[in-house]
Amino acid sequence: MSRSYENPPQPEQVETGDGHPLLEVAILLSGVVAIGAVFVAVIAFSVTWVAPKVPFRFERQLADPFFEERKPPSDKDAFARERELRAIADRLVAAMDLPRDMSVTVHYDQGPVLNAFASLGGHIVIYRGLIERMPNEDALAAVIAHEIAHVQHRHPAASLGRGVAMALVLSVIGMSTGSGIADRVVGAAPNRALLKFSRDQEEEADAGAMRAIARVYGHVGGMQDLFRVFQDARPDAPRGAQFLLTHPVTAERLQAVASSAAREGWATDGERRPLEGPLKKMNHTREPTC
Amino acid sequence: MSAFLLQHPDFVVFLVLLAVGYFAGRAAESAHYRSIRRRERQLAGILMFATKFPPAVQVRQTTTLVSGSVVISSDYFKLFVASLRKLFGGRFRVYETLLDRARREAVLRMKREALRLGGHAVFNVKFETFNVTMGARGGIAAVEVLAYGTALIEPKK
Repeated sequence: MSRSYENPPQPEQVETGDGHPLLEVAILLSGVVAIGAVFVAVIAFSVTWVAPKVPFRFERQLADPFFEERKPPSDKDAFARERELRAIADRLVAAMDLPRDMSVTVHYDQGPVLNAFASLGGHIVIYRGLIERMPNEDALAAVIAHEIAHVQHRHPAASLGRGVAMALVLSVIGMSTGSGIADRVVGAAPNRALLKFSRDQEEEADAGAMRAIARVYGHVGGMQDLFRVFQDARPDAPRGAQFLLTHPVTAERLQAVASSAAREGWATDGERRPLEGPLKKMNHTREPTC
Repeated sequence: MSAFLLQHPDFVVFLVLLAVGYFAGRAAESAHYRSIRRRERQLAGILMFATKFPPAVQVRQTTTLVSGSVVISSDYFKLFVASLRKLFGGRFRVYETLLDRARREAVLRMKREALRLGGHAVFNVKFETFNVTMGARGGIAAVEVLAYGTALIEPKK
């Protein structure tokens, strides 16, 4: 074969492409996070707008079967406690201007956790662990009023709607990228935005609870007692990491109580009602062990 | 930030995998490119043609089929960049280098085969490629490239 043939070396175009791969990732990621944030903002805004407009009876139809399945308190004491909690709740509801079709049902749970939550259909669950740590009825009423305020503002419905919508968005993004890797990162951005919304809800519920407590008890000392219990229970609560918490930092909530009281002319201190009857028997205030 | 990482151990795992993919992947890629360039110089004497027939030659030559194939896997970092890239479009640069390496490695293996058989040129060179993806969603993307052609072998005198 003739010597005139040759294969010249190929120019190296591919490897020496312009731009650093890490820069490429940074640009792509910020784009994805921006898109995720816009998605969430739009969804959260529209769901928050729609949720209060859905008739409350739909919520009840959805939630009642679940709470009917809950075993009613078996022993007499638990039954009496639930009745007592409902009596406190009734007094608060009377002071809270709930819509006509809205109803609140308080349930007592034997669990030892320091917690309470409001669910769909006006169902509120109060745990034994919370009642045991309450110094007086005012503080317990503050919790119940906080949860009633969540129901009043239709927060459980809004949260459910957001959760469903978020899952939908993430699965769509997951499908379009076709890998589980990207939606983890994409998922982190909306979750952070949702925490912000969740904190807004808590502040709204605190404000509603304060108003109710001031009306029923004549002062908002119960709110302060309640937040001090939280402060003692979680002395290691991260400072400055508020962006990552569902609830506002306790010290800030205490401050909010003081400033609202000053604005509305509520007394911040007054006579506390001791816990009585079936709630008193269990309320052996003890040193927090954690 | 550290509190966030402590609360999300799976995110830490993800970051570690990403870092391993990035550093190990880049090290492997640059080592492979160095090796490719060295062997391309060594085998530059074996000529490669896309034409179907060799030019008319005086000496009668024998021909034989030669081929070379390689499978190269992407890494966690490439996979992550690619999954983001799918949303926006644009150059899949991380995969361009992957395929470039695979093509050149396959050619080198084909040329080595030709050299072993005493050949001095390969005609009618063609490429085949196959996507070896293990598992459907989130699986590892690996690619096979096969290069083959007709080696020209001069008879021994």
